[in-house]
Amino acid sequence: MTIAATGNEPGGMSRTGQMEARLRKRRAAERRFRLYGQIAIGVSLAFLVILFTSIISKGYTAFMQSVIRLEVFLDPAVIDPSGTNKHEDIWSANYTKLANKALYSALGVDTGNRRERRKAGQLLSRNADVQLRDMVVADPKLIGTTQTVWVLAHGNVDALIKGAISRATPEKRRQLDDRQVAWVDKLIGSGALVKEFNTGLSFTALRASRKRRAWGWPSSAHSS
Amino acid sequence: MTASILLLILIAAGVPAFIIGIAKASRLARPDPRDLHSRPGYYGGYLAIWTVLPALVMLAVWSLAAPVVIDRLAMSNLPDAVRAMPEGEVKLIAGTVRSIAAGLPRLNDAERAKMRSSAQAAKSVLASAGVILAAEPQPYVIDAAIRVAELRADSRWIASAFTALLILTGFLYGFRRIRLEFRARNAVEGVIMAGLMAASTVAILTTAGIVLSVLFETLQFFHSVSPFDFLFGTVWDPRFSAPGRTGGAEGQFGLLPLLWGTVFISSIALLVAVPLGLFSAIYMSEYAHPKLRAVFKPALEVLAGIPTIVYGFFALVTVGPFLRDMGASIGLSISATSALGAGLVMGIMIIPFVSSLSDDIISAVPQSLREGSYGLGATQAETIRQVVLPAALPGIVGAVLLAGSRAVGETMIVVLAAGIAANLTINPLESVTTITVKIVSQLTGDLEFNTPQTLVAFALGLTLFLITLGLNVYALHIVRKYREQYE
Repeated sequence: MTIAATGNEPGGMSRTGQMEARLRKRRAAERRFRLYGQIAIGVSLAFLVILFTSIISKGYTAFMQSVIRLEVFLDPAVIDPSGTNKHEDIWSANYTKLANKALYSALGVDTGNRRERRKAGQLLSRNADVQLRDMVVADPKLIGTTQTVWVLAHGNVDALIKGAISRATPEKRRQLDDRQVAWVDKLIGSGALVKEFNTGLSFTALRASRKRRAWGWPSSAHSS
Repeated sequence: MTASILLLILIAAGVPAFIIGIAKASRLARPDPRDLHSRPGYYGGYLAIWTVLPALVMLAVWSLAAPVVIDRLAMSNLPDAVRAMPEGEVKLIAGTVRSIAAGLPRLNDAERAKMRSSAQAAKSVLASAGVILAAEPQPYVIDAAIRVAELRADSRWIASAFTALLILTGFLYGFRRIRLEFRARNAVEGVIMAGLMAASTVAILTTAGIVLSVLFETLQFFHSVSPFDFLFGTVWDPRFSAPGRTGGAEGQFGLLPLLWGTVFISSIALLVAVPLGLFSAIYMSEYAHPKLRAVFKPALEVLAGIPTIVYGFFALVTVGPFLRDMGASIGLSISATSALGAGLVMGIMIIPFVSSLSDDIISAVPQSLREGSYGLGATQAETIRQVVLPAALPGIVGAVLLAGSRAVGETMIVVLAAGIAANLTINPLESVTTITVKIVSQLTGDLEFNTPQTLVAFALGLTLFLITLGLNVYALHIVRKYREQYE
C-alpha cells in the first residue's frame, strides 16, 4: 500500500520510503542487539567449557597407574634368615632384591652384567618393596612360596605409556634409554604390564611411605 | 559438677518452668481466657526466661573469671624466689602447675602419697595418670598444683550452689509476677530483641577487632618507614632483613607500583566481565525463552562456584603459555605472566557476579515502563537501551562496583598468574604484580616479626581494606541515592 506523498519532498524519497528505511535500520539494530546478547552468553559458556576441558584433559591420566606382573619367590633366606619369624626381621628385609630377581627372570636379563641389572631395576617403582613387605607382614605363611604380584611400575614407565615421555626424543635426553623402552614393550606384549585404576587416590592410601606412589606423576617431575 | 552438666540442668529446668507458667496463666484466666493480656505461651516463656537466664549469665561470668582467680591465688603461694624469675619461666611453671592439677583428680590416695615422697616418684606417678612432664617437678610446684585442684573443686561446688539458688529465686520471682494484666508478650519479645542485638554486636565487634589489630601493626610499621614514602613511593624493593639486624631501612616500600598493578589488572578484568555479564543478563532477562534461561543462569553461576585456585592453575598452565605462544607467532612479546592473562581469567571469574546481580535488577524494573515504550512503537532493543537500562542503571553500577571490589581483593589468581616484580607500566602484555601478591610473599617464609619487611604486609592489608571499603560504601550510596521509587 502506498500513501501518496503530499507535495514535493526535497530528498526525493517519499515519506513512506523514509519511514521504511528507518524501520529497516531499527529492525537491524534490534537483531544486532539480540546477537550481542547471544554472543555474550556463548563466550561465557565457552570459557566455562574451555576451563573444564583444559583441566580434565591434563589430569585424567592420574586416574590410571601402570603395574607390572611379577612371579616373586619369597625367599626365606632373604626375608627371615634366622628362621625365628621375628617382626623386625620381616619388616626390614630387602624386598627390592626379590622383586628385581623376579623382573630379571621375566625380562631375560643377564644377571651377571651389573649395568643391565641396574637398568632393569629402574623399571620398578621405588615403593615396590613396600608392597611386597606389606603382603608378607600381613601373612607370614607366604614366606617360601612363589606369588604372582602386580607391582607398581616406575614413574618413568608410567609416563612413557601415558605419552608424557615421547619415544621420539633422542635417547640421550630421554629418561628411559632404548633398552629399557624395548623391555617395556616386551612386558606390554606379554600382558605383564597394564594400566589399572589408581586406588592410591583414595584416602586410605595416603600414608607417608606411599606418598610418592599415590599420585600418578612421573617421578622425574617431582621436585622432592 | 562440670559446666556442661550444669548447662543441661538449666535447660531441663526451663522446660517445666515453661509448662508451669502456661498452667498458671490459664488457671488465672478462667472462666474467660480473653482476660489474659497475652497468649498463655508468653507467660510460660517469661517464667522460663526468669528461671534460666540469670543462672546462665552467672555461669558464663563464672567460667570466664574462675580460672583467672584460681591461677592468681595459686601463684601467690609460690616462694618469692620463684616469682622473681624471668616472665617466660614463670609462665612455664604456671603451665606445669595447671597440667599437674588437671591430672591430680585421677590419682588415688596411695598414688598421692607416693607422689609427695620424691620428685622422681612424682614424675612417674603423674606419667601413669596421663600427665607427661619434661623434668622432675619441684615440691613447690606439686604443692601449688594440689592447691589449684582444691580450689577448682571448691569453685565447682560454689558455682553449682549459686546456680541452684538463682534458678529457685528466678522461678519464684517470675511466678509471682504472672498476673492477668501483666504484659508478658512485651517482656518476652524485648528479651528476644536484646538477644538478637547482642548477636549482631558480636559480628560488628569482630570486624572492629580485625581492623584494629591490622591498624596497630601498621602504625608500628610506620615507625620504621614514613607514611609518605610508603604511600607515594614508586619503588618496591623490600630486600631481606638479616637476623640480628634490626634496621630494615635499606628496603624501599613504595606502594604505587602495587596499587597500579591492582588497578590495572582489575580494570582489565572489569573490561572483560562487564560487557559479557551485562549483555548476558539482558539477553537472559528479556529475550531468552524461560527454559533456556533456566539452563543458562545456573551454568553461568557455576563459574562463580569454581575455587579461585583452580582459576589460578588454569591461568598458569593454559592461558599464560597460550598468550605467549600466540604473541610469539604474531611477533609481539607477551610475558607468560602478563597483566592481560591474569586480568582475563579474573574477568571470567567475575562474570557471574555482574550477570546475576544485573539480571535481578533488570527484572525488577516494572513492566509498565516497558509496555508504555512498546505502545509508543519502540523495538525491544530500543526499549532496553532507552527505558530499562537507565531505570536499572544505579543498581547495575552498584553491581559493577561490587564486582570491582571482588577483583581488587582477589589473591589466588594473581599469585599464580601474575608476576612478582613490581612494575609501573601501561602495557598489558608485560607482567605486573598486585598488592595481594605482595602480602602473600612478604608473609611467607621465615621472617622475624618485627621487621618492616613483615609489617609492611599489614600496611598493605590496611590499604586494601580501605579501598574495598570505599568501593562498597560508594556502591551502596549510589544505589540508594539514585534508586527509582516507582509507586
